[in-house]
Amino acid sequence: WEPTKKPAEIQKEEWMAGCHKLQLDSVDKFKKLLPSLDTGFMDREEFGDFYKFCFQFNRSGTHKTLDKDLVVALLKMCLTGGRIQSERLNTYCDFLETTKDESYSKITLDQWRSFLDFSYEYPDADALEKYDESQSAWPVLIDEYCEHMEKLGKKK
Amino acid sequence: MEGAAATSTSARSNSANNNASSSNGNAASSSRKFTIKPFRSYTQMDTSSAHDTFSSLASAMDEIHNRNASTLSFEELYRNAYNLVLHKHGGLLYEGVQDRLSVHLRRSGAKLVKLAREESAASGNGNGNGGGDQYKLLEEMANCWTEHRITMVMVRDIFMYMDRTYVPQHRKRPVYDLGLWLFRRVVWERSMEDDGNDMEEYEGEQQAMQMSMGNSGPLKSAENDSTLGTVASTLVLQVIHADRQNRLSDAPQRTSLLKELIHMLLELAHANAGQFNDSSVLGARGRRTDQQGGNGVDNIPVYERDFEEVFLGESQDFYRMESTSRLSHSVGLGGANDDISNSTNDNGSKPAAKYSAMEYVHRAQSRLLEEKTRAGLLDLPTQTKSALLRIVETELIERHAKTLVEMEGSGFSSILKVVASSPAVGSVAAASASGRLMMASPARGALGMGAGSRGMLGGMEPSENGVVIDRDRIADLAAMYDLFSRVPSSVNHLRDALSERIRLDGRALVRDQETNVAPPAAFVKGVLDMRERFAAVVSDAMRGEKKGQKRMREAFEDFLNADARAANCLAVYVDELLRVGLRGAEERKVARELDRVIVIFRYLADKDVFEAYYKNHLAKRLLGNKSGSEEAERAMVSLLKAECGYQFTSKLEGMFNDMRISKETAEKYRSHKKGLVNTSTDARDAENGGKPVDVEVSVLSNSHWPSQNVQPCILPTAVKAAMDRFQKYYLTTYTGRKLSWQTFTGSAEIRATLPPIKGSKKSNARRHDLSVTTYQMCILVLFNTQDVLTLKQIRDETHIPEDELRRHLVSLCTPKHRILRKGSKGKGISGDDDTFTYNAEYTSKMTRVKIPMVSMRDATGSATGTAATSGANGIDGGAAAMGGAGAAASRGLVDGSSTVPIAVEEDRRHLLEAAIVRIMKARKILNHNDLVAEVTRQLSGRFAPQPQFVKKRVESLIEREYLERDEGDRRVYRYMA
Repeated sequence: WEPTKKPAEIQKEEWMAGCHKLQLDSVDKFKKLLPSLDTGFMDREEFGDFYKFCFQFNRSGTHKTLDKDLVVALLKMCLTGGRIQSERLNTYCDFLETTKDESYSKITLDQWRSFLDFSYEYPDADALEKYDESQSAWPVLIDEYCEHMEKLGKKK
Repeated sequence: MEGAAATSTSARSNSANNNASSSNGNAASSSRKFTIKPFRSYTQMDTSSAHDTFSSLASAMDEIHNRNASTLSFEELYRNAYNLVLHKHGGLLYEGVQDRLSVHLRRSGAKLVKLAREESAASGNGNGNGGGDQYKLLEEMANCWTEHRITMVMVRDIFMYMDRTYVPQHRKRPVYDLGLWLFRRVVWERSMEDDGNDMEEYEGEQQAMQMSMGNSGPLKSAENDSTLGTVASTLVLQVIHADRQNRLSDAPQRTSLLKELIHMLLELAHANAGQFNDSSVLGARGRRTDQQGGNGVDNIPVYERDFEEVFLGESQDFYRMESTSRLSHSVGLGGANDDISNSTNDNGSKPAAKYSAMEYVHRAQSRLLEEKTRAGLLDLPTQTKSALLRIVETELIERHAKTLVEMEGSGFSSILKVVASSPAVGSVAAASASGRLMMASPARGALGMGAGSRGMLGGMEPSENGVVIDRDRIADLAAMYDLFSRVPSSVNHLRDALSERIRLDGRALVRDQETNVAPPAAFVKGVLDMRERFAAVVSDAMRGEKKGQKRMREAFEDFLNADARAANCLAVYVDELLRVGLRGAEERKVARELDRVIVIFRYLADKDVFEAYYKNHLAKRLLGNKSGSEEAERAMVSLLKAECGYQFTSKLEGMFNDMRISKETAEKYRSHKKGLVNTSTDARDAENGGKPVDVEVSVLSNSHWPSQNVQPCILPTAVKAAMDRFQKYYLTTYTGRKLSWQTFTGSAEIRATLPPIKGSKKSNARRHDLSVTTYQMCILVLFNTQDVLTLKQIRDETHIPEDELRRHLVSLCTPKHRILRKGSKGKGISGDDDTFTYNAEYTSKMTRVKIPMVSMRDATGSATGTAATSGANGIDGGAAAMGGAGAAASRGLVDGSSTVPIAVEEDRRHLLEAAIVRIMKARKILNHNDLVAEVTRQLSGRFAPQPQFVKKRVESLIEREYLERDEGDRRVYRYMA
């Protein structure tokens, strides 16, 4: 998953190079390969690259950020299928949708990538309890998500 | 052990003397015996003759015991003993000596037991109160001991040879020690059950003793409670106890007695300390010459066991009981009461049974002293002494430290409260604040103050700064601190109380400020007074200890930095000081005041907020010529510089510089103008009655001053012309510069000519020089041509921003200076159509009138207008002096607000990012927490950044690709070149 030079399109050379890398010289082989493209088969590192690619791929023009709505949709696309716990994904998307902070109407690459790592590190609610905001190096967005989760937990 | 060594040497010389003296002729027979067989030492002395010799020695010992020593020939005895040992009868001799000694001691022991019994029978019921009789036993015992010691010295002299040869070979005790040992066994540890009939029991006893010696096990009597020794130590303790309660009539005598007995015990203990082969069974163990050896089987330390332990336990109980009963509500310890009230500083109102904290402190103090002197008098060994003091300290201080601190009315906290709330002279706000505190304080001091007279509180002395510090209370606190400092751990309670108090008071001040009870300056004044008092507490009462100072600082920082308010208020306070407070004050006072301010400034975390406000105020002061003293201003800036470095004050200094240069420029301009005046008369000047308008301009560097882009208002033509002339001059003098007029903060003097009031005697026109702001000038000049103007008209004519316009108009309509009449009634200005009418009936006693500005808040209130009647107008722009400059209450810079102003927030963002980049550039790779710590450290001189805030900046820098997260570890940042 090489980064493309322009967003939202894959150029022919890039495509060819990619195919070459995967040793695809015929349509048959390509067809055989297709099932393995299911993200579920990727290991973490590969998926991380793919995940990053997803962000880059969807950027438009020279913008460095993605709109929140797009991010929510993308997240749901990329991360379903057991990559991370669905509870984490859903609550995060909810949080993004409900947050009123203007500064989060756009999501940066850092925030985008951090969420995946964050989900690895704090997979479920129990792990989240150990989250220490004062010590964390996570983006503030994640801090606030955790706060949000804590409040939800208290309500219950 | 030195003492022992000394006595033995002296004894040796004694015996030498004896030898010399007796050689004269006293004992011819014995000397003959010696001379007949001088070298036949190996000839066996048979057993019977040995017994003969010994019996003569034994009878000699009896004589010694009967104090008939003077009749004996020591040389002869020595020789006999020598011979016995020489002829291998050492064992016989040693045992015999032991027997003899035992018999004697047994006898005196029995005597003592008898005495003890009689005594306990006599004073069977009254345990401690039986008068002096009980001491007989002690006295007798002491006597017995002294005699025994004298005896033993003599006996030792006789058997010196045995000591030297036989004893070391067979690992026996030296004779003297043997005596001590026996004394302990036979007298001290004699069971009270023993009958006085010693002779009958002697045989059995001896058997038992030998048995016990053979076993070398713990003595029977050790398990038996009631020995002569325990009875004696109980008595000793009783004496001490009585002494503690001051019930001892003949204390010196008693103490010497006690001292004697304690000495005895110590010596007995030492005698037992070594390990000796008391029986052949134990031969395996090596002899220890070190007398301190402690864990031998037969090494029961008499002193520790029979006295020290009990004594310390007793002391503990005593003081525990005393301290708890004093601090709780229970009754006191009987007869001790009189003494107690003497030794305390009680005001007399307390019941004697219960101590207030201070009384307790004084009492404890004297108790400790007593114990110390007693220990000295009794000559207690150092280990006991320190253990004793330790116990007393624990019981009296450590256990009750918390209670003492928290005790209602007289505890450390309460006294602190009183100290903290003593009324300040000359500060209404502080007095009101402390008044509130007083309400909550039930302490003694509050009663005094409740009566309303400061005179009632002795020892109050106003300090140089007008802060009253209650010296008496501080002395109390000092006493408590001194006491507590004996037990380091308990001092923490004091420190806790101190910081708690500061926090509470501080928060109360903050709350007052929040609810607008106290204006910002009063808030600062309160803080200053508070600091003064607590500084006095720490330096005087807590002896200026480091930890106390630290706790105080932390506590102050804690409440001052709760929000940005303190920085703001402090700036306001300083502004007031420099404008009014220090006007005409002598140099020393100025320095002192400013020092005080700096102390608070040091506590602030938001130094940049302070700077922002300070700059703003300074600008106003400089431009409005409101500064009280140039020197004070400079002193303040240099203090800030010393505190925060060059960068912090460079802008402030720039402002001063601008002012200086402006003055020079104005000077030059004036001389330049003089040259022009003769040649060309300005036509427009003539319009204004021929008087030219003087303009005084302050040229300010844009970067140094708090600037704000405000559209310049439209100035009256006369003023405008004058300004244009200056501009032309200035721009030709300094090419390449740009002047932008800031009409915001100028001021003007206007001469108003008002018509005579109807019915007034004087018929000529009245003149007033009105001192107004530039805006007000603009407004007033409009009324030259018209009598009535609406708000909208004025705005259109002048282009003054709405808020300011309203504010300036209102200040022209105040009841005191009603130059204009407002059309609408009630608060503020109703709307665009509200009318303003020139008030011809304006009166003032002064010719020069300074029109005060109403504050922003009041601009919407105040001023009830009355219907206006028009009159002739006569305001002309006379000599108008105005400064065009920009200094404004920019958004967010509202006095007394608690939030960080937006402009400062902006500055912080830049500073933070700069700091982050700087650090990352140097380190390349850095952990998140380290980065935050480093940034915080670097910026601590100006403000304390929130970690969250730092994080946001980092994210923003990542976004802009200055930094990136490490691929492996997300907590690590890399600098991207």
